Amino acid sequence: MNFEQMVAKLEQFWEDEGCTRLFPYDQEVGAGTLSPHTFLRVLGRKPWRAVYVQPSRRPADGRYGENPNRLYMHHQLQVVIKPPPSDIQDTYLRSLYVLGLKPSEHDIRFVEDNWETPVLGAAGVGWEVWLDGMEVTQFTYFQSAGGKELPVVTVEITYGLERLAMFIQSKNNVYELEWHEGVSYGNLRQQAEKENSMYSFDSADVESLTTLFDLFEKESKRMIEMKLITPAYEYLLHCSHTFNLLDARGTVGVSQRMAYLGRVRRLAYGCANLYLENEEHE
Amino acid sequence: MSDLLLEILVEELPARFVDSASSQLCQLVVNHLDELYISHGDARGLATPRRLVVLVQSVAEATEPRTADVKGPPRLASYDSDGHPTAALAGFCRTQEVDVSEVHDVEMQGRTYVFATKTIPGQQSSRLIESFLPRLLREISFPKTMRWEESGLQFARPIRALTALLGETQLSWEAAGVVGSNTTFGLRVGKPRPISFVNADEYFRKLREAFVILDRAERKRSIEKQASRLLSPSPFHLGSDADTLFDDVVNLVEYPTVFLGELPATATGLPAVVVRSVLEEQMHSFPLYDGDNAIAPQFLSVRNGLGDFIEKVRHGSENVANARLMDASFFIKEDTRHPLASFVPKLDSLMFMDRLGNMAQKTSRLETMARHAGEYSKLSPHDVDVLAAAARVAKADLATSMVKEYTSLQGEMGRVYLEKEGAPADVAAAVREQYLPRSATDAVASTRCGRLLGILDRVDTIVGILGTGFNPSGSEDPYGIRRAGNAIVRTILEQAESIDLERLTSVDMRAYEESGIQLESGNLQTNVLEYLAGRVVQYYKERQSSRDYAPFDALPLDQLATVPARINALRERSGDAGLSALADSHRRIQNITKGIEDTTVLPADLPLTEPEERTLRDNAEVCASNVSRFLSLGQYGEAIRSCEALTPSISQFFDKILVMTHDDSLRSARLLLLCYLKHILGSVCDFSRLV
Repeated sequence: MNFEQMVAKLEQFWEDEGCTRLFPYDQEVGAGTLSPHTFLRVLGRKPWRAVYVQPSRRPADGRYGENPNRLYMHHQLQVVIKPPPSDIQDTYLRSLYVLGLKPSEHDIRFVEDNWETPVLGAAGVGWEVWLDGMEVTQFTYFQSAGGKELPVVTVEITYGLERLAMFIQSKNNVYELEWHEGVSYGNLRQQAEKENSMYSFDSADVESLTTLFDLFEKESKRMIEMKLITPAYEYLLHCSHTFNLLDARGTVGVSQRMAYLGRVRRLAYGCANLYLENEEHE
Repeated sequence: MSDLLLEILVEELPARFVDSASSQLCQLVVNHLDELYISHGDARGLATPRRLVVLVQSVAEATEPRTADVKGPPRLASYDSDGHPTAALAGFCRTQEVDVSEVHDVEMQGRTYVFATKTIPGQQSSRLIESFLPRLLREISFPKTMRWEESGLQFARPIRALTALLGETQLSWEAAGVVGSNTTFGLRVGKPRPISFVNADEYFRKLREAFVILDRAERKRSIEKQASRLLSPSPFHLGSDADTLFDDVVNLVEYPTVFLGELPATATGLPAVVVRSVLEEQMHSFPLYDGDNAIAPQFLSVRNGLGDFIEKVRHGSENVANARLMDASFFIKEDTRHPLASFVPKLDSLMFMDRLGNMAQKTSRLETMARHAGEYSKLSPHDVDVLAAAARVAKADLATSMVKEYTSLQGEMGRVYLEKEGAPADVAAAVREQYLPRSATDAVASTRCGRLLGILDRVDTIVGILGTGFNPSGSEDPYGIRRAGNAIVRTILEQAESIDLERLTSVDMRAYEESGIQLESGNLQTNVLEYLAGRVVQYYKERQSSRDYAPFDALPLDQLATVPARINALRERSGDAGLSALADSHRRIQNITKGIEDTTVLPADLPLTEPEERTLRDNAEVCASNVSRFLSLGQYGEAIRSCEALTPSISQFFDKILVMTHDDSLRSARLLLLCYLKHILGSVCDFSRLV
């Protein structure tokens, strides 16, 4: 089973479970959680079921396309369901079955791992799912977001698609994965991995990025004041990615780092509050 | 009589929660039964990561009728001046359903109260048990809890089924949207199939058939047995810490199957500590060792599930091990492109502690402290150089990719990288050993420089944290200073590592000032030393040796390293009649000179005229020089014997001489003599605290 077939099967599976199948958000994010399809939708009381692939950029994890396991950009398949069904663990295990991974033939374990994104004031409780020792999924019950306890819990299931594909295709090098018949992951991604690593570690212009962060932040704040949640949140995402680039460049000191994270967090709280205000008015 | 069976089926509990939750639940059930006067037999808690189970044998169907005394109003408020019952008494009797004539008086703490004796009829156990079931879930305490459904119940992980059976009677139990039933689920294999049962016996039998081993001890035995069967034809063996590793795995599985995997070729070129960390921390697997205790090309792992398809599991696990080890080897290649010292400047972006600056600043303080080692320790000039070199790169590995990924390898990677670049072996060893002992049971560092570096690092942490104004009195240890203090104390006591903590603290406080970090002034140094002295007391308390330590707890902290030898010397003389006479003398001297300071020298013209006081003076001066010689030689038994030799002359002195005479000059001369004795005896130990 190649990469695209695997993704298609998972999307189809969750669509059949009543999830709306969405496209990746068209902006740089560090994880599927940062997509407004998750971060904003977990707030408030309205039910929500969605599945989407999210390319996720982590500039500090780039390895110039040389490391068989680490990537500047990897792909997550994100499932969010609010409120969580009581058989959600079994449903998840069935989704692995669809990929040919049977619990009787593998060692599938739920190993404690509580997740936290300080930048969003968000935290959850859950597990990493191990498939014969490889973590292939993060399974989380959201407890708080935007600095607030959530009135209704959302379950978030995040499949690490490269890890899962490496397992299924028995490959030790991500670049050797088959994406489409005759097309490897390396064909598609290796050059971009190299270039993005060169950019974020060696060539990114710190001064410009610092200025950009300030401008993005200013614009996000202005949109919060105007109560336009979507653009406010999109500029927050720009801030977050710009900070990640600065961080990878190694120019952010400890206290500066705390300050940057605090600035992004204030924007996140602002957006979350607006979203909740809106829901109340409806 | 019937068995009571409770099961809470949950989504996978964190392994570290399981044992405690299981014993809490069992204890809670027993407590509730006892409080409700329900007689019962043995209770047993069982657990896997997916279920908490309690079985109580021979639970009575109903409670016996009994009487109970209920406290009412004070007698004074129960009757008016004419002796008639007041409204208060009447109300009390009404609620207790007794007649006013049936109450009696009981005296409690000087006041008289009215009591009613009530007869409580026997009650159905099932009803009583149902009344406490919902509370049980809230009463178990977990290190961390969560919510998952609308009732908002807090539990470690979502509850998916509840069972309460008394004999064959299903008790009603409802919580978090789950309605109690007599069904559960077995090991996760294939499609989940409900298992139903009518009583505890059937529950245990069917769960066994569904591949669930409820007893943790049985799971552990099974793992041990399978491991030894797999390893018996093999030239390889498990590490000495395998037992603790098994404990870690036993609550990750409901049905353990042990298997052997092959390590990829990547492993052979990697440092043993790295292979070990990858297997143990990232895969909960076990490294194997060959006859020379080198890492073997195989590992042992435990699967949750049956032996079926074990080849697939093995293959998957080997791939994962390979991927992880390749990752590690990539990191090591990156890290070793430059010498370890080149990571030191990068430490300025690593925070040490809030308000205490970064690790680069810490490094420079460690270097300063190391260079001054001659002032507070007996380190040779060569060792001072080794210590300073080690201090320079002590924290450098924190900035390497390997340690960022595997934090438990701090110190280990420093040593590996230093050895690779050909640094002196004692410097590399010290960098590794600074983190020893890692736990209360871990051995302390084996090299002097390793011990010293660990002490410097920990003193610096304690000084810094207490210098932020942190008050360490609570039960939590958020900054790890208690652990740091314990490690310092253990290192000094168990390796007789002589060090003057007061001077070391001064050097460190100066170094903080030089690195531009403001610490609270005031009593910081006193606080640090008192904190450490408190850890010493705790050290002996934990070892049930508080009595042994008591005679030494006034000894200056710079003598700490000598305490174990002094305790031994004293123990060897215990039961000695001379010793108990000496204890009396010491006590007497202390009582009479209470509030007066010790005297180290006696003036030559002290007006001592009586023969007994002159003899005592002469003997004391001889004793003083002997004691000080014996102490400096570490001959504590001899020092004690010298003190004992003084006892007859002390007794004669007290028999014949009136210390508190009206003559001022005589009185002060005699007190001075006694303060001199107090000083001599006290330099050995406080004999008065011998029991």
